[in-house]
Amino acid sequence: MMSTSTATPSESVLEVRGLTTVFESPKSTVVAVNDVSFTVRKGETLAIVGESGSGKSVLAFSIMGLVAAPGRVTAGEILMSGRDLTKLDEEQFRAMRGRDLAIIFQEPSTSLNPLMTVGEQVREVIAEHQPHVLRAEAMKSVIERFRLVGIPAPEQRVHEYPHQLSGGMRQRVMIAMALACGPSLLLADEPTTALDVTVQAQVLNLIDDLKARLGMAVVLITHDLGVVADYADRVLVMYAGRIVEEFAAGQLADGASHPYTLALLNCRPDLAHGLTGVPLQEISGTVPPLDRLPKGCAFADRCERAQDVCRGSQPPMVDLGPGHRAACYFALSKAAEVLA
Amino acid sequence: MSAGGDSLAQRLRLNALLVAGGILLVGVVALAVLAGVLYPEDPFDMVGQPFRPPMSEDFPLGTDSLGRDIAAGIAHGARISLIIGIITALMSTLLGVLVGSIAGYYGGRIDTLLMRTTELFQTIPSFLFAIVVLAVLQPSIYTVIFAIVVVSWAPLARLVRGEVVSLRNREFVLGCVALGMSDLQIIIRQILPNALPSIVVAASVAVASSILFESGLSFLGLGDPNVMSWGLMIGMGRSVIRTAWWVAAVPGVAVLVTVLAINLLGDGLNEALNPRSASNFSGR
Repeated sequence: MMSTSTATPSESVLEVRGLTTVFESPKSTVVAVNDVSFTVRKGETLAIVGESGSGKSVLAFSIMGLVAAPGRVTAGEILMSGRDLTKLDEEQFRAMRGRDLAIIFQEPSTSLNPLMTVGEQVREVIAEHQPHVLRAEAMKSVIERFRLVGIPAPEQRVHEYPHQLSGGMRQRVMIAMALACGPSLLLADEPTTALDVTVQAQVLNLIDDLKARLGMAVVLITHDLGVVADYADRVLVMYAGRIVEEFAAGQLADGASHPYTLALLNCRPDLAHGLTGVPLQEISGTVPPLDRLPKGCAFADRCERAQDVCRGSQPPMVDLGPGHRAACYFALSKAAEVLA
Repeated sequence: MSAGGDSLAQRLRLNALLVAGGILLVGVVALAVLAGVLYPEDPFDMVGQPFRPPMSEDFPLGTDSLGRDIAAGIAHGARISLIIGIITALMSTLLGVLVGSIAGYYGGRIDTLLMRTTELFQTIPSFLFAIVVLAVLQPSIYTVIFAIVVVSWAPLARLVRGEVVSLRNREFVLGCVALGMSDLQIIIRQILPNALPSIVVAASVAVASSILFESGLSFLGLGDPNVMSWGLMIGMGRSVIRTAWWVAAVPGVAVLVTVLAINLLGDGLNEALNPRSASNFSGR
C-alpha cells in the first residue's frame, strides 16, 4: 500500500486543504469546520486539541466521510494516496474505510455490537475487505490482532461478548478492529475519555507502540494537553471550527503564542494547584454560537490582547518559525514579549 | 457464556404469563395437528341429529343446525386459524421489516416516501379495508391471507423503523460504517438482531390479531366457504343463538382461548426479552 503512494509528496499520508463542513437548517447555517488545512506525515502523531464544540470531532468525521445530513462538506480537498476523498463515490469510499483509514471512538461500551462475540466482529471487518480469506484463516489473524493489542488469552477472548470485557479491553478490541486491515492512518477521537486514568496510559502507550510497529500515522483528537505533551509530535489547536495555531509538541511548554493556546495551557489542573491553594484559571466567556460567528476573530471577546483590528477582520495565518503558525494579529513569541 | 444462557432460561421459566400462554397454545396446536386423526371425516358432513346440546352422547360439544359435529369443526377450524394466523403474521412481519429497515436506515426522502405510504395504509379502518379487498377479490384462503397482510403490515413497519433509527445512530453501527461494511451487511448483521426482541413480540401479537381478523371475515361470509373455520361456525350459529346457543358459543370460546393464549405468550415474551420492562431490573 505504501509503495503505491508515489504521487503524494514528502511522505504525507493525509493532506487536508481548505476543508469546510457546514450543517444547514432552514433557520441557520452552522459552520462546524471552517477552512481547515493541515498535513499528516507518515509515522507521526498529530494531536488536534480544542474545547467541546470546537469542531474537532466533526473534522474527524468529515475525513472519514461520516458526516450525517444535514451536515456536508462544502469545500476543500482531502488527499490520501493521491486521491481526493471528497470526490469519491460511496462505493469507492467504502472500500477505503477500514483498509486505508480507520477511526476509533470515545466510548468503547457502545462501540461494539452487544449481540456478537468480539472476535466475530473483528473477523467481519477482515471478511469485508478481503472476501477471499477463509473463515478459519481470518479467525487466526483476528487472534493475532488481539495478541498485538495486548489482550491476554486471545484464543478465549475472541469467543466472548462485549459485556464480559472491561472498558480497557473493549477499547483494545476497538483498536484491533480498526487495525484489522492495516490502515495507513488511524483517527482516534478522544480514545481514552471514557476510561480510567490508569487504563488511559495503557491504551495511549499501545496506540503509540502500534504506530511505530505498523508504520502508520495517528491523528489524536483530545482535550487533554497532558496527553498531547506525552504522545504527539505536532499539535493543531482548533477554536470555533478554525485552526488557530499549529506547532511542534515539544514547544508546548514555552513555544505556544496564540492567546487561546496560552489560555488553554493555563486551565490545566495539576497537583501544584491543589497543594498551593492557587485557584485554577478559567477562560472567561463562552465559544460564540457557530451559526453567528463574528466577522473578525472568534476568540476576540474572550481575549486579553484583543484590539479593534481583531473584531474587524479574520486574522491571517502567519508563520512564526519552522512548523509553527498561528492565526492572530498579536501572536507574539515569548522572546518578542521580553524584547518589548 | 453460560451465565447469559442460564439467566435467559431462568427468566423464561419463571414467567407465569409465558407458561400459561404456552400451555393453552400447545393445547390448540395439538388439536389442530390431531384433527385428522380424531375426526377423519369432513367436518361439513352430517353425522347426527341437528341441535344436540353439548355433553350429549357421541357429541361432547353438540351438533349444529345441519347435524354436523361441532367438536370436529373446532378441531379442523383450529388448523385454519393457526395457519392463517402464522402465515399472515410472518408475511406482514417480513414486509414490515423490509419497509421499516429501509426507511429507518436510509432516512431522508426514502424515509418520508415509505412512511407516508405506511400512514396511508394505517389511516384506512383496517377491517373495512380488508372487507373491500375481499369484496373485489374472490374469497379463498389465499385472498384472505392477502387481505389481512395488506391491512396489518403498517404498524410493524413503523415499529421496525423506530428501532432501526435508534440503532442506526449507535456508535457500533457508525463504527461498522467507518470500517467499510456494506449497508446490507450492517442492516442484517448489526441492526436487525438488536431489534429482534421487539419484532418477535409484535409478530406474536400480530398472530393473535390475524386470527381475530380471519374469524371476523368468515363470520361475515367473506372467508373461504370451502374451509371449516371458527368464524364461519359462529356466523352459522348466529341465527339460532336463542334456541341453540352452543352452536355460536363454542367456536367463540375457541377463538377467545387461542387469542388469549397468544397474547399471554406475547406479553410474557415482552417481559422476558425487553430489557426496558420494569420486572427485569431486579434481576440485573
